[in-house]
Amino acid sequence: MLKKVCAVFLVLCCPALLSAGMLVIVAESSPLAQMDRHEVRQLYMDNASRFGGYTVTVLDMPEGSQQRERFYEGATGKSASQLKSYWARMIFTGQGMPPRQVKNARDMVQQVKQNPGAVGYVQESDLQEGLRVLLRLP
Amino acid sequence: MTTTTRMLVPAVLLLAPVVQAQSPASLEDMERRLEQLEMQQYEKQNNWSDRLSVNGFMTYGVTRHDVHVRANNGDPIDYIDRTTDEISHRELSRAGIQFNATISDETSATVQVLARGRDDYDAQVQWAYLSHDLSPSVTVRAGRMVLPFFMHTQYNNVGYTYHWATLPGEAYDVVPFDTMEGVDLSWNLNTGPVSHRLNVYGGATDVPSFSLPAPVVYEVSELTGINLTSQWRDWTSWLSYSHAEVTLDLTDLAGPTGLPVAALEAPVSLDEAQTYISSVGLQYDNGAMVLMAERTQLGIEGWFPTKWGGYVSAGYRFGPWMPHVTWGAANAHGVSEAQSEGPVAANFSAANQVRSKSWTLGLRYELEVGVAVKLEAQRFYDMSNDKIMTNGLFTPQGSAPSIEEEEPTVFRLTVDAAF
Repeated sequence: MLKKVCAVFLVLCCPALLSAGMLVIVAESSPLAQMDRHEVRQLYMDNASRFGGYTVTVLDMPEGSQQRERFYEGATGKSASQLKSYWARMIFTGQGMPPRQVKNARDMVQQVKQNPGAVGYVQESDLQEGLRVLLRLP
Repeated sequence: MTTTTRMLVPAVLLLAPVVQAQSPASLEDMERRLEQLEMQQYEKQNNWSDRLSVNGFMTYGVTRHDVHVRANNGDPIDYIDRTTDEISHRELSRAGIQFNATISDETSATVQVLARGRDDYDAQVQWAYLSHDLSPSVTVRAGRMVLPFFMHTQYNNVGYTYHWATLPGEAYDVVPFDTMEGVDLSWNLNTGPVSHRLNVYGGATDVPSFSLPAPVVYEVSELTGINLTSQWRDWTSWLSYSHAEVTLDLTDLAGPTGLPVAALEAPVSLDEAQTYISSVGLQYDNGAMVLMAERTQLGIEGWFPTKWGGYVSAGYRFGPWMPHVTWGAANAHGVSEAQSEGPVAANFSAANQVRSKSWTLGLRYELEVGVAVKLEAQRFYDMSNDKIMTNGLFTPQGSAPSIEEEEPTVFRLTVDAAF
């Protein structure tokens, strides 16, 4: 019985456990219609400024956040340290800079809502009206 | 909410009755205005932090080898001109910092300064260039840049980016490389699921060398090159070819060698000798397993031997731990052909020959994201055959006895960070 209570308590307190996958999001008014995992990977690893003929701004969660780790694990299969190594190669050879990092999930939602060209990601529990899901990552 | 916007809140509230007296504004209107002010303030801060970025990297390392026999002059045997059988805290240690300023949406300026322990931490500018995006996929840069000869050369000082403590010596220390002054153009393109980066460049540089009786400088002009990086899923391939004209005035060696100046003029001195540098490489990284292989080659017209180097490396990540193993080899040919250029050229050719093989066993531990500790041992063998008598990348035979029987091993321990 105690175990069941603990399990229910954990599930209630940790919505993250229920929704491990991350959602790739844009504003409802965004012209972007859909994106597959390969395209999301390319968009984030290139910090691309164009996608499907549109100008886009790729937004990232802060380094060290759990959502960021889960997103990259799902989209690219890379761990935080592999990502760090990848961006160090890009930065110190002048081949690119990583995507702009927002402050937190609330900031991510706000910025994506306000910018029709923005692409971001959130966990299921942070999804709000005014946002459209382009892809659900594993 | 920032301090400025905090101060703006009471101001807006104080002004509210005045505003209301002129045109009745609802609470919603004022909230909207406040939000706008907050956004403006946020955008200002954002713009500033977007315009300038500072990144850095650092390595602290210790290294030594285990060959205790002495060179003919009584000095310790050295590995790549520097590492000896005594622990060096300086040889591998270095720090770099990079500033990147955005001038406009398309243009930016980058400066990277590197201070190496082996140079007494005298700071040198490795990168200093202006970059301009001609289109979202085409970028042109002009200024000082690290030469893109081989797969890892451009980030060879950023130890955190690779699993070894140092890049494989057979490929990366056989050809001296550093920076050039010039222009490059990069084009990012996709062909189906494969993404490519095509880079072409042109410029000039000087390469100092210490393999002859006194330091000499190879003047490298008309330097042009092309390289292609292609990525498909977990695979990355690398192809590069560079061409240059090399001028090498050896008449200054008359003093140190005691030879008459006439004996050191052309064809011993090189005058715009046609030179090529090429490399082909492949990488696989699925997140757990890492495989890498590369072959590099340098050829200079005249008495200079044609040198090639290469390695095959494999590693596997177990959480933060990554054991890895690497086999490397380097060789040279064309030394006997140099006889036709005369005995002096033949001697200089022999002084530039290389032959070496090695096994490297290493362990990388990810202390935290951005900091790695690496430990490795590299054992050298097969440095001579019936045609070539060398000590590999150690003090050459002629200046030292053969060291192959000593089973030479180089040990390295580094802590690498990127931030």
